[in-house]
Amino acid sequence: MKFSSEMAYKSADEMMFGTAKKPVKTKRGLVLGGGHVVPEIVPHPRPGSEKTMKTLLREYERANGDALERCVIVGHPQLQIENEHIFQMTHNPKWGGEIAAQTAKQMDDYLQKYGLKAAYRATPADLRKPDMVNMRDSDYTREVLETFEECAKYADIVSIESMGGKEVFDHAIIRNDIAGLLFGQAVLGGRDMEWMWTQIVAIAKKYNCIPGGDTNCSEANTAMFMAGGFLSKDVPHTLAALSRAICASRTLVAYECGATGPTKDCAYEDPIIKSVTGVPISCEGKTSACAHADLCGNVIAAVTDVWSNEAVEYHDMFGGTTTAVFAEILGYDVAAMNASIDLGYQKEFQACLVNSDKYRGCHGFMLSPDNAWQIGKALVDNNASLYARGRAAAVKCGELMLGDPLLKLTAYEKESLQGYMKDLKALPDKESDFIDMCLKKYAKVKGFVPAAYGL
Amino acid sequence: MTSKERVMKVFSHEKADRLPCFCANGTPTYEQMEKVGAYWPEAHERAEDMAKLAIAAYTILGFDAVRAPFCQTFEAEALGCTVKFGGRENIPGIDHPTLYKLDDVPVLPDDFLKRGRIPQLIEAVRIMKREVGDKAAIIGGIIGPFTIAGAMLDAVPILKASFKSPDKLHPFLEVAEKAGTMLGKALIEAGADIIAVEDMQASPDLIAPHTYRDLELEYQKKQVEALDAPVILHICGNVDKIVGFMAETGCAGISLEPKSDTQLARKVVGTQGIIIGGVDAATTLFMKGPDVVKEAAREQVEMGLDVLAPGCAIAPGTPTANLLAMVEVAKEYTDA
Amino acid sequence: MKYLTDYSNVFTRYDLNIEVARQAARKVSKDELLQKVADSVVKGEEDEAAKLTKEALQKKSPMDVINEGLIPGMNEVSRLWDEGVYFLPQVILASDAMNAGIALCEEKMGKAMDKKGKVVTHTAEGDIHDIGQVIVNALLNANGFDVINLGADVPVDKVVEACRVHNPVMVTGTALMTTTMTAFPKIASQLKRLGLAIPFVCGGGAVSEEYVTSFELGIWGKEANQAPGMAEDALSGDNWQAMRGKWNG
Repeated sequence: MKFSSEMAYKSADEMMFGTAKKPVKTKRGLVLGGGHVVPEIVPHPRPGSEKTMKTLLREYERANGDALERCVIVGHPQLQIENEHIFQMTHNPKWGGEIAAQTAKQMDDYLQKYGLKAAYRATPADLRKPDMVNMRDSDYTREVLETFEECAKYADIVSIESMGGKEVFDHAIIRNDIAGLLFGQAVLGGRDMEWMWTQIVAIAKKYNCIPGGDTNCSEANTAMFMAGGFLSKDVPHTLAALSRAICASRTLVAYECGATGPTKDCAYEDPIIKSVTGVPISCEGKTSACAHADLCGNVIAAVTDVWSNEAVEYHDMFGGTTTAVFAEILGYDVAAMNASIDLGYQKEFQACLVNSDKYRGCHGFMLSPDNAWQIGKALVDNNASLYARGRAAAVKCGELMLGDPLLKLTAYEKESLQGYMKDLKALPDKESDFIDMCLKKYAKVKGFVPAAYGL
Repeated sequence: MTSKERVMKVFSHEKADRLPCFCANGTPTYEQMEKVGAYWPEAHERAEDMAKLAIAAYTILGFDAVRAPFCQTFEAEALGCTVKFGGRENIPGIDHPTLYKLDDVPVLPDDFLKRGRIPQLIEAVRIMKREVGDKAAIIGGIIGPFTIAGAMLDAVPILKASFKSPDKLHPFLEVAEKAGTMLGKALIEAGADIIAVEDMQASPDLIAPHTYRDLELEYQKKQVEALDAPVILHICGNVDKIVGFMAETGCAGISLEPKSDTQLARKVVGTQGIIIGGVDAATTLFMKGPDVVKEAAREQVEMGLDVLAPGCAIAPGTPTANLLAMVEVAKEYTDA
Repeated sequence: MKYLTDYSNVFTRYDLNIEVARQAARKVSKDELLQKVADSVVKGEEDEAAKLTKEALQKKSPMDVINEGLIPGMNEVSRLWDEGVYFLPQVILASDAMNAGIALCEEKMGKAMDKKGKVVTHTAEGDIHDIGQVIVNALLNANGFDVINLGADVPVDKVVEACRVHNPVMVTGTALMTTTMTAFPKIASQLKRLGLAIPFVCGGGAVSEEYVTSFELGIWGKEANQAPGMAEDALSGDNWQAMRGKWNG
């Protein structure tokens, strides 16, 4: 696997929602990144519905079906549905496979009956918990890979939210330890991703399924949620932003192993990924408020190809079931974006999205296309190792935040950031030295087994 | 490994067999008093009873260190303040009216170490050293300069002066520091391995952080430097705003209440500093059961403690079972 | 891409607002003179407060000076303390300044401020500092209650006797050490025996909600600034059970 050495886009100016350098076509004719944006709805089953495969199948039939139905009712031309596996669906690979098969059939029906074009993304759960099992050799690991096999037979796209390095990350984030973030996210996470994705890509190819992508939900998103909004003080927003920059080093690995996109929706680092790889990306923002709050609800759509709602639990609302409701909302978001493209107003629309959040907070700032591109450049220019590029990305992100007077930081945030920059500069240059240092420093972290990462 | 070896290794930054557990503040409880036959008020005044009750922390609770005294009045009394005893249930306190007004000139008597109950305290430490000194670490407790000065002037006047006329406090802080240091040295000579400084009056709950920095810090630094043994600094309340300054005193260890941010303290002192703390003394240890105590203890240990301890002086009504539970948790953290 | 220079119609940085608000005392009065009186309280300048109060009394009524200058100043200090901007010594100094001003106003009126009701306050027997009580006393005073301040290290009997004599709407107790809070249930049971079901608000460093709500009459006072609100409730006739239900978990 080779580290990216070139930018897919010559400048941020070239990047636009709806279009990717390397579009991806699905079975029923959706072209992701082919010129227009596609909505992605992500239903979650209610607790209790997982009692038996039968009850779960029925739950998904309804949840996925309602979304498809609502698109026809209000006139949305395309829909991508993602099912993120609950534990039972991956632990019993047949379950995941059956649900994929059922949904594929539903989508074929809707295509035939109404002409609605739909695609299905199956995202098996990463059951491997570092402190419970050996990451590379355990029953859970085998189940995960087996589930990929089962799902790839029927799904258009497969993805996963892999957990490598989480044990060290969790230890580091509460201690404001940026070296720990680099080690957990970039080094360990990246190594685990390579191990995983080499296999996932092979499985997907076997069945002509699209190997979509991965996300650092378990780490960078944890940091982002702990940083919270304007009232919380658990983790500085500046640290969450650096964690986001670092995780791009790791998320890139999937694409360097052969994944093609669409990337995972909750990978907020996707604008950075797109600038480097040119693959179509799926993002979530304001319309994923049903799952969590974020401070970049509009800007994150600035260069997206698929627009997602992250996850919504299936139940009733006044306007119908949640999946129907959010499919409608996402579709309308996308309709406006696509209208702007066809009107030739996409640059202005993009400017509105960016101005909404670029200076709202650190995440919005660093994920604005111009800054995301610069962080992407730092990654490719320093691609000697996972560590080197993760560190370079963090340093670039910090410099950008400190260098733009329009980004206002509280005294606390600014001081924290200056501290992290100092820490980053003091770290060794070579990955081998860094790893040696970390193996000693994190030797006692619960659940951390160096052998699980090939160290 | 003996308890003493365990504690001293941690303070020399070497590996111990497991996490130590002890209290940097007062340890007596009514249950311990019953078991060893040493009670209040005698144990506040007589060396034999004081030593017996202090040693109970090792023999009955299984703590790795023993500590005397159990109140904050020894230095103040020897300087001339009136002490009011608390009978069988309570610790002694400084009575009103207090000794000095802000414009007075405070005096450190030449025979300071012979006054009040100080001779009994020194003797108690000698007894503790003789009885368990090879097995458990001996901690001598002194009071910090700001708190002794507060006893001399009374709490409200010293707080007001800290803002209105801080210069007038220097003579009092000087005498207070000298008194504490003299006592500390005597305790080390009598056999104390570690000195614990309690400085309640210096808490951000009471004074502004910049008051600590501008007024108290220099005296604490002086005291720490003068004492030839590791010093533990304990300030009650949430000390997040001053923990950086506390680290500047040069003390070997900082003892925290769980109200403070352990992770922040760890970040500030780095890997070389020793953080002592863990379980809230007023609520968790006093009112909850062993399971809750254990959970609370583990949570704090995970945040980066070097020593598991009650957050402050143990409330005398605390059940022994809760304190034993803490020691059990400390045993879970072995250095394999 | 075009960028705005002013984003105030697009988003509000509440985190920055909070940071700024914490640092400065807000304006409490439109009247310039009364604002100066309030400022002197906020600054804890007793002499200045007295001087400005005298000046203000030449133009305003004593009750206006109290209600629109001195008391709002003290409330502002209380807010700054809550937010961690002010520290205890500043609160004490401010309370002194406010009291100096109130004394002058009462002199002018020829009588004491009308008080809404009595509150007995004390620090527990054996507790050497009355620090916890200082701010409670100041806030209750500022809010028009007649504070019977028994001071520190007050024996149980004395508290009970004061309640019998004064029949306050509420009694408060502060304890900084776990060794002393055991006096509170004793006070409560004696009050009960005398038929005085006075709401007994207990607070302080050592005191926990669980402990205080374990005996009758006990209401946990989490923060000193709750004291005026609780006193108002007691004044309007809420009994201890109702108050506990409202103020405690």
